[in-house]
Amino acid sequence: MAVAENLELTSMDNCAGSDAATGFEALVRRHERQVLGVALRLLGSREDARDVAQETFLRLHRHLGRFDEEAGVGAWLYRVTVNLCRDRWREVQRRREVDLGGIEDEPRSGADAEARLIESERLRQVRDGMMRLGNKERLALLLRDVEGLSTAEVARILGVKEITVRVQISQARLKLRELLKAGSRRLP
Amino acid sequence: MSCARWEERIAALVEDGLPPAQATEAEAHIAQCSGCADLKRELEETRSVLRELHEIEPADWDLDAVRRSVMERVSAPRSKRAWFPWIPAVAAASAVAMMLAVWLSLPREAGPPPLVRFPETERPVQVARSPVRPLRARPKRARPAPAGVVIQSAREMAGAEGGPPAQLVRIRTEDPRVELYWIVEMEGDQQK
Repeated sequence: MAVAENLELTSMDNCAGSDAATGFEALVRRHERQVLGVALRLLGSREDARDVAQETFLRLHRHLGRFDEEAGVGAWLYRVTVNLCRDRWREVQRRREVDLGGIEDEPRSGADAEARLIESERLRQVRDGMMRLGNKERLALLLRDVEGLSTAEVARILGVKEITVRVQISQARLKLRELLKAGSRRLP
Repeated sequence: MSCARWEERIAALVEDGLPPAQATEAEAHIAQCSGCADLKRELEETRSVLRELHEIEPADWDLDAVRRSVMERVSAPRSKRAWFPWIPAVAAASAVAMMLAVWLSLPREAGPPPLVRFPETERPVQVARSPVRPLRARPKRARPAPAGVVIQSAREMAGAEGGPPAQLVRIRTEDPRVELYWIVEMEGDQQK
């Protein structure tokens, strides 16, 4: 049964009903931690992450009728979230307003200020490095290493074979390693 | 310095993507090659740094804020969506109705339309696009005819059976095989 039917949403015009709104809100609740979490980890800025998450769910609302089952919603949300993060990251780069670390970047240990700064800078470099990867590599690496999914789960979400995922992830790690090395050489 | 040819294999090893035999081979190489051992260690560090990112969790109030904002956006614009598509259509219909009302209120001319004076000349003269339309065309707004459609001659001739005098107009078209002849009855010095 289509997701839209589950939510009593056969088209966008039906979204005004309270049942449909409740159904959509339930769908948002089921996926909000995934969407906002990915955006926050990739962008490192709560404000940007909230904007991306909001736009992701608004797009989901517009595309509800296209899903045959809710299992497809999660994969779709991953793709859209990561793509929107990439767009937002580019905007930030253009504005030269890179957030060098908010409260979410703080290490959990009681490290001193210098260590915290280094940690924050390291995470920023990792994020920047991920954003410089190709779309497929970035998504595969995010799902595998950041989200901690198995190769099989990543393959299912991406709709490719496991061996393809392994190759993408291996390539992505090699590239990211090079980017991180280049970034660390630029540090004082 | 790592061996370039081993890079991909070591990356695959870190990802557990090598068959057992190749994995053993790669491990044996790493044991002998400090550069490749460094590569393996750096790849594992990269992976662990990425896993650190997973520790970042969104705050509950951020989740609430996003959800609230999304639900407001998908619910509130409903009334606007219902009305917006009608606004241009209503505006266009009103404009058409107003123009129609103005046009209908304009005074109408009485009597027949003015007759067109036809040139009495032997020289080729450009006329309007069609040989029929000049009778109805207004002389002020006569548009130039397309090249090749000209009056070849306009000769005055006697009217048939004692009728009013007439002019025989020969019209040459773009096609040399096609010529049009047009008899215009004259009434006084005006064509009919």
